[in-house]
Amino acid sequence: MEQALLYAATLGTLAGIYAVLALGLNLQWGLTGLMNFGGLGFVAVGAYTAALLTAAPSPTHVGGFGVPWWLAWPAAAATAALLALPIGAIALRLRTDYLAIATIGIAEIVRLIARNEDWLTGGPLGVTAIPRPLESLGTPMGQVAFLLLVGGILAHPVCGRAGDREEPVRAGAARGARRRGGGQGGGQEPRATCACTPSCSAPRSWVSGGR
Amino acid sequence: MLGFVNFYLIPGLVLGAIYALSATGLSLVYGVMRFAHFAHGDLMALGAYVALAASTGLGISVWASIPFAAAATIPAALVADALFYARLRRSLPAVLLISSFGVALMLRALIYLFFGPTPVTFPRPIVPPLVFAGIRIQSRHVWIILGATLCALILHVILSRTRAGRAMRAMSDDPDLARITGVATEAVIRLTWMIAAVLVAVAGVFLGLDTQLQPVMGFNVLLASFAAAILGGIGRPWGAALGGLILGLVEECATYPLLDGAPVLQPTYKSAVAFVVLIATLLLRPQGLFRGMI
Repeated sequence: MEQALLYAATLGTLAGIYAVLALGLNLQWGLTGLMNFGGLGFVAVGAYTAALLTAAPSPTHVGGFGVPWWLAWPAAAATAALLALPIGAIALRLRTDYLAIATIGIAEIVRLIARNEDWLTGGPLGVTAIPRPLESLGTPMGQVAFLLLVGGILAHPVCGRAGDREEPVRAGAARGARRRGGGQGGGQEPRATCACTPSCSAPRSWVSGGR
Repeated sequence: MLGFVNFYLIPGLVLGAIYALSATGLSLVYGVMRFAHFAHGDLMALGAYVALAASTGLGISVWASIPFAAAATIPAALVADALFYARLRRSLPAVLLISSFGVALMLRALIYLFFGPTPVTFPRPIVPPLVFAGIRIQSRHVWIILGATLCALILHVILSRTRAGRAMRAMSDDPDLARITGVATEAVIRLTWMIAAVLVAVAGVFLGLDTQLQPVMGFNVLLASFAAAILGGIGRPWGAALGGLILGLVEECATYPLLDGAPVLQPTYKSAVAFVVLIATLLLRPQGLFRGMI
């Protein structure tokens, strides 16, 4: 029973993370029509930020900051949003398929940096020993609590709005915000939020240079 | 100076020739069908692996196995077109782009299934490099550069001297005008796939000879090929070939130890050069060097 619960919670958490990711993409492709193929670059930036801020000190990468997760996650979101600024400058000029190719290129540069800057990210070894939030609750319940946390982010109004295609007023507002201010303000947040989650839940391979 | 020629210029030319072959096919497909063909890289890997199977299975040289590679990539491209792209002909470029991404994943899965994930090399004897006045060049590098030049010349003759080639250029200039003036558009599309598939098969074999074969080998050079095609002006085959050469040379020469023995760019970041060139082209001159379509 405990095993089944752990399995279901782990699977559900992964599904929730993918759902947040998909919502971020939907906001961008569905509502603003900007085809971003480099989403995983943002995921990587957010994941590494959260991981390095929370992970135990290690000789293979920067670390040992001991930041609690509830501070590290917004920081991860902010870093990913920072990466979005230069991309936003490109996005407003390029046509759809060129944007797709360019964003893959940017994500690839992020991957190369994560792979090669060993002092910062541990290179191909990645970051290990990342504490998961609410781990103290024990084996099945800690995972269940984490699932609830991911579910909470998924149900958060910012993400909820991203999934709500039927509401023209809000969609228009999102589009307007995108066009007005160099474009990255509100639109970036769900994607950035999702970027921080995988780092805390998924196996190590996610937070390493490998694809 | 000789060191620069031997270790940077010649590898740059070889890599540039491979990029040029792949980018020319991409540019043709883009010109005639107006979408970014993401399965191009995996088509390249397919060609390379089939050539490997042919050369080891039949005991023939790698060069002689190029027709087998083309005999695999042409049907693969035509089947993908008939099953997927033909139905989406009138859709947005983005839809076709994503469907070609799906085709890329299918091709890669096939390669993993039949050939496994481990990198392999073509069987090639160890031969001493040719030496001309201190310039050392591997004989396979000579053949790669000559082979790519030959492909470019043949393509030039097809595009400029034959009826079919002129029809292709007409479609790439204005598809609707081409259709109402009686160009058999579906036949031209099939011909485009065949030419692109042959070019990409040759590129795959050359890439495998230059480095090694692995299932993601094509995808790894796909973005550089896009960068080359866009740099040359997308839809312009000669531009793509020139863009490929420039990109290969820049990529290799970027690691030249110019600053007191330290390389200009760490070799591990070599593949980032293509993306920087790509993004710079898109921002500064989106029509490319040869005024391609934007």
